[in-house]
Amino acid sequence: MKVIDLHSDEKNLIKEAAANNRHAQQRLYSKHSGKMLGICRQYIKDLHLAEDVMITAFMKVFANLKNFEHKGSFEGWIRRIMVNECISYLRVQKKVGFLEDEYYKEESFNNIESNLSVDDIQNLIDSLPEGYKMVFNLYCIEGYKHQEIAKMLDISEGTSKSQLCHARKMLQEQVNKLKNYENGTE
Amino acid sequence: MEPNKLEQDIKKKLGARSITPSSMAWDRLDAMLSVAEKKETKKKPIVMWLSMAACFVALLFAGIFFLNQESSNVKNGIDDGTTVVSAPEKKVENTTPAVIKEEVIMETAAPIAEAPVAVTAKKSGNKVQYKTGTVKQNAIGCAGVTPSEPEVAVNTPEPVQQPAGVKISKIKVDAAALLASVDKPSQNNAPKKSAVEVASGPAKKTIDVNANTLLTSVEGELDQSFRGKVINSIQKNYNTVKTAVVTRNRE
Repeated sequence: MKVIDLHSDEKNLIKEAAANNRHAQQRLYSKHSGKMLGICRQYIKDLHLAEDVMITAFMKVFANLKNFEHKGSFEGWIRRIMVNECISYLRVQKKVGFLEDEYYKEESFNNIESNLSVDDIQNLIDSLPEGYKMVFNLYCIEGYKHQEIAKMLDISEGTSKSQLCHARKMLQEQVNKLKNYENGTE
Repeated sequence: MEPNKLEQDIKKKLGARSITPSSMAWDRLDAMLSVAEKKETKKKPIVMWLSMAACFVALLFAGIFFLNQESSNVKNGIDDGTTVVSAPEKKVENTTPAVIKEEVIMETAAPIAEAPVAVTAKKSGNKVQYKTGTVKQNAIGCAGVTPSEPEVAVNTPEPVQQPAGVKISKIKVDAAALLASVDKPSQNNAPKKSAVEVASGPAKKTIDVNANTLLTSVEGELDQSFRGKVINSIQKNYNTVKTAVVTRNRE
């Protein structure tokens, strides 16, 4: 019963925000901005730039709120807009470069159990080249398929697979290094 | 390539992460939203104004068109059917084939008595008179005529557009009246005329209009005057719109 109330509350909030009710827009913003800034931060290293991108994406959210059909979750819808905005920002800045490398190896990585903190994880992801990072984020965190990623980034499916393979390999190496450092072996 | 435990861990931790944006972020977004709203509200009156102008122009065109149409109709006499269209001179000249046909029909009878008779044929509002026309008549038939006996058939000329001999209408002439007219050739033509007219009964009143020539002439006039008016009105409206836009931009 409580869930239904919450859902209807959000629906009303969206309706009011679509009608340019500033209070409703602020409520929606404060509800989702934290998570959305986290998503933008995954793609953009600089937090201030990530915030700028988030604000631009929120502008798009409020402008297109009338087109939201309440079929899926609202958060998922905003999330998609955020991701697309981050990709287009990086493209405009020409920070992403994909080597048309279709070599990838289906290998099973070691199932490393890590006790890495969120900041450590973010640092690991930041250390990846932009292309690897983007494909890794889209595939492993957002859950897109290679076909969808290829379409979004305007690359071939093979390139997407190879980028992911390289990213995984690099991450494994980084995690192993960290573990060795913690154990004092290195 | 299935996601391994490390990736699942990364997904879980990053998915749950929340970074609080700076306090200025909402203010910036608020400012951007209000600017966008202002732009939208500015756009709406312009759209309304433009649509009103478009409606005005459309109405103007429609008015000009209808006025033009009405005036052209009055000029050509299309709207009131009472106006008689005068037939061109050519029509009278081209009636010779019909006369030939008339003679051929009449020659089938044996002895012929020729008598000059004035026959008036009313056709399509144009009075074409055959003052020099001759009616060839069977003398025997005329002699033994009983008042109820058949009449002489006279072919009437057809207009230029219709081929001669295709439509040959017969005017029935009262035999007694015709005989009387033959007997008194020196008398006035007026009674004969009336006799023929009486016998022929109610003549068909049809307006013969050469459709092609009429249409071409009308279209020519219509195009010229309409084009001029349209160009003038477009120029006027363009100037008004231009001045309005300039004043708006200055504001």
